[in-house]
Amino acid sequence: MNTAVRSAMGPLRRLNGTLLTGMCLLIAVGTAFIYSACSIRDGDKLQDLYRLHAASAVAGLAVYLVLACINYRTLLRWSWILYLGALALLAAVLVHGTTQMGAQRWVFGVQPSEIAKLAVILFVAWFLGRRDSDRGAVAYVATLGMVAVPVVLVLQQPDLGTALVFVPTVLAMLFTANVAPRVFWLTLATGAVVLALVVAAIAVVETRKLPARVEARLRQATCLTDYQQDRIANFLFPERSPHGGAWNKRQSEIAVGSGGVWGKGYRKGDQNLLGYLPPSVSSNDFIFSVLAEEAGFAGSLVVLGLYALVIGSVLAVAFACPDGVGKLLCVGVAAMMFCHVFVNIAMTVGLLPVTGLPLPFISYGRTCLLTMMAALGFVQSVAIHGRESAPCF
Amino acid sequence: MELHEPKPLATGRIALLGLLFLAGLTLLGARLYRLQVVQSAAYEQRQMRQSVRRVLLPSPRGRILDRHGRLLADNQPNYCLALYLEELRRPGRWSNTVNAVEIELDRLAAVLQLPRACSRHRIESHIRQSLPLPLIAWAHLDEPALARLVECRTNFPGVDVFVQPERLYPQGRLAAHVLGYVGRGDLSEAVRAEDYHYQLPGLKGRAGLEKEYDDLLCGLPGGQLIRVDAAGYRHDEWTARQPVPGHDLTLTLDSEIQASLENVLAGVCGAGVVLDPRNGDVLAMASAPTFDPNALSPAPSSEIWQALIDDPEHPLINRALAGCYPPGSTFKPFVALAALTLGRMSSNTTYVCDGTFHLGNRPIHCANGERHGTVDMRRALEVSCNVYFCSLARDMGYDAIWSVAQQAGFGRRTGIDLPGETAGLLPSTAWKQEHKKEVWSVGDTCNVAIGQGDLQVSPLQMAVATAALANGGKMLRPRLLRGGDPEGDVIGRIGWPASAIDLVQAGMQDVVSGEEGTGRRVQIAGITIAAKTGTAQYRVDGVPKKYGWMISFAPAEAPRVVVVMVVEEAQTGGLTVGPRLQRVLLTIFADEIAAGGKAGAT
Repeated sequence: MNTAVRSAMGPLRRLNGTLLTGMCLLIAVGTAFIYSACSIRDGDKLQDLYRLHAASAVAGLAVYLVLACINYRTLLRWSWILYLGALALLAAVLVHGTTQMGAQRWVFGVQPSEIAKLAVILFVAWFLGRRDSDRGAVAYVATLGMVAVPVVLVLQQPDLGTALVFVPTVLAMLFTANVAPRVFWLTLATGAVVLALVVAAIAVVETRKLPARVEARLRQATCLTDYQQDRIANFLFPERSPHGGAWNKRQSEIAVGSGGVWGKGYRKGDQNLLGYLPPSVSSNDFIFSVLAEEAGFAGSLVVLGLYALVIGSVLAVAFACPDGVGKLLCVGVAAMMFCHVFVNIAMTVGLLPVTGLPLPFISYGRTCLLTMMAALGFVQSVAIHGRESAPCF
Repeated sequence: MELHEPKPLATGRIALLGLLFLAGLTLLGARLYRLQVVQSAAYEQRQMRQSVRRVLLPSPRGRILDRHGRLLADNQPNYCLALYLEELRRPGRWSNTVNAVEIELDRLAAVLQLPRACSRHRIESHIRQSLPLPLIAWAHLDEPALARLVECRTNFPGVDVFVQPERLYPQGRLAAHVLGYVGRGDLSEAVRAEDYHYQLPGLKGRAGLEKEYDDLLCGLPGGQLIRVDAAGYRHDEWTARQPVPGHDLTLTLDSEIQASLENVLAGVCGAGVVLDPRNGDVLAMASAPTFDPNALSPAPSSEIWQALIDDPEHPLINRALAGCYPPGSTFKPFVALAALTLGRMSSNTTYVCDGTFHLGNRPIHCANGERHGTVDMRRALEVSCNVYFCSLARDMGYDAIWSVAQQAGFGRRTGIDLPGETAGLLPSTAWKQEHKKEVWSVGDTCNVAIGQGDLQVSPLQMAVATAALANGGKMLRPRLLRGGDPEGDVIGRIGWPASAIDLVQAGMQDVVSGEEGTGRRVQIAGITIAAKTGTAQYRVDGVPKKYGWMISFAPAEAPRVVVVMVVEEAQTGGLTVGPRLQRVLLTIFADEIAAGGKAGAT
């Protein structure tokens, strides 16, 4: 019995401590600042978000440890089931989903788009990472196809931010796996050109007085919805509507800037307490503004440092892992986390247009938290089991 | 096999990605450094600006009382129904809030049983310009309306009674020109003056004493900081500076004399001044026609204002100090003084009056074609002989007249503590050369000697000069604030010899009590009065008219009051002004007359 427990616990002795500590610290920070951000909300339910966050973290920790103990090689064999399941959930959202703030993102109390990110990473890692994987142009196109399905589904919600995470994440994995390098760079260049064209089209529509028909054509050509175009225009021209869509961006910058070097003190942020940061977003998408206002530049740097630590550790695990699946899994997770962190904070400080991407471990959002913790659980599994047996793929 | 080469998954690419991620995080760090360290102060200011608002609190304006403590200007609370728009704020577009306010106003109108007095446009501009300030939806709520509101207060969140101090002149038109009136302060003025984003506009003096002593009366407005949140809700309120009430002003005015003076001037155009020649206290100052300052404070309706502006009789002008009149014969006592002091003429100088003074081809006649025969100076004053004074002036020259008139304060402002005073005009030879390009002639000298020509004086100047004549040569600055130097604000002492003053005073007594005196209508039993009448001709659109003048002081032995009065479109000074002046003097000496009457009866 004792030995059975020990053998079950055995793998945990090889746990990557840095990874776990960094994650736990980020969750603690998140819980504390969700508490701060929600303190001005009406109603006990909304004020108790921090508890839900902490409770999700406890559940997430269990998932994390279980995943860490199980060999990822066993799990990834079945990643296609997870992938199909995620697609089914995404489809279900479009049929049954609940609408919040103009977008259908929830079904059965979860946000399938978050789960889909992890599912795609696992599936692509398994698809490209095995020794016998084809890494030519066919595999490249197949991979893009695998990503395109959930991306299209997510775009239907519509959730541009989440869709934009898929692309760089998979690109990072394709880059690491060195799949069809020429096609890879070609698509990358094409993507950059398309992006530049879209931004230019929006800028032209915004600044020039065009005939209505030409303007409609241009708007249509961007393939973006009106409100997405609006957000990009708000980013390009912050003064176009000081009380409209650009409000959050402006208030967020004021919150961050007025925080100063040492911050205004925990739960003393004026922008937060006076509601200039809208309470509806201050606990999730704009949680970093609250943090930066109350903890200052020092606190912001600590959080950036923790992310660097966690992402660095994930990459270190990838570095050490002997097999391709494990490496790609870790790279995918690191890239996804980096995208979330970068896009979210860049949006908070006015470097990128406003998109609804949560800050991993800190933003309130149970599906996101659980998914991120599960993702790190897989990485932990790579750390524990990576070297224990010969590469079986 | 080639496929099994580990080459495709080179670890170098992972390191490259790591560097890319590090670069991304460093970029974020750099941006945060810029926002939170370099530009922190600017963002802090922006944050303060949007959440902390300062509001100026008005201070109770000082009251104005007459010398006996009777209230001339007071404050009264104006009960206004105020809407605190931030509490009515609706999410989304501001038009939602405007709609909500309109619905609220309609409901309130039904409860108060008052017509709605606040347009949509006003609501919108209030939101734009002064959101943290209450929007005054109804002003001057009466008690029934207040009671109706109190009954259902709880149904109207964000609605409150707001008390605005308002100026009240309890005596109505009394001393309107002296008191002036107030208006609502200019919002932008205060915003520029202090770093306050919003202020409650206080009352500001616009004319008269309200304007002159505005700084004293207005006190120091207080300041209040209000912290508002993004929804417009007030969070903290703290008074940064308590308002300091303005000072009360006690005036030298005697409201009984003032009322009497205004009564006698009712229905005519003219002005009067009652001065204490011992210290320069202004006991009364009136200008007719007058106006009701209550109608002008704090903001007159445009009809009332336009009517006052368009009125050909200019009721807003204080004729007592802004009116320029030729003094007519009331100037003669000063000509006599000039002859006796600087003109080296004797009081025994006589001229023969045949009714006309010939000078070139422009004869100057005595009034009513009278021939006074041989007249000396004292009699010349009594009968107001033009021939005598023209001859006297011709013989002594203009310099003496000009110097004495200048000593007596003509041609310059008296320095009274009221705005809008005129300096009048005391023509000099140089002045004529400059303005009319003509040489001063003997005719000019004669014209000035009988108070005509270019000479222009204000009733107040006349009063101050008469006071100097009454008090033996003490030039005083007329004053309206009580509690100054009991000797008066002495500007200078003129070295007129006592004998000269005595002679002129004797002549002026004869004007009232002499057989042929022109001011006999002023006579009051038991009071010796010295006076001089005057009638100056002027033309309006070619039609000849006359200003009736009278200057006086009493009691002649020890002068306590100087009364000066001018009436436009008069018959003569003696006929038109005399009886009016008498009534004012009767009011002033009512106690003495009553005591004298009793003494006579017993």
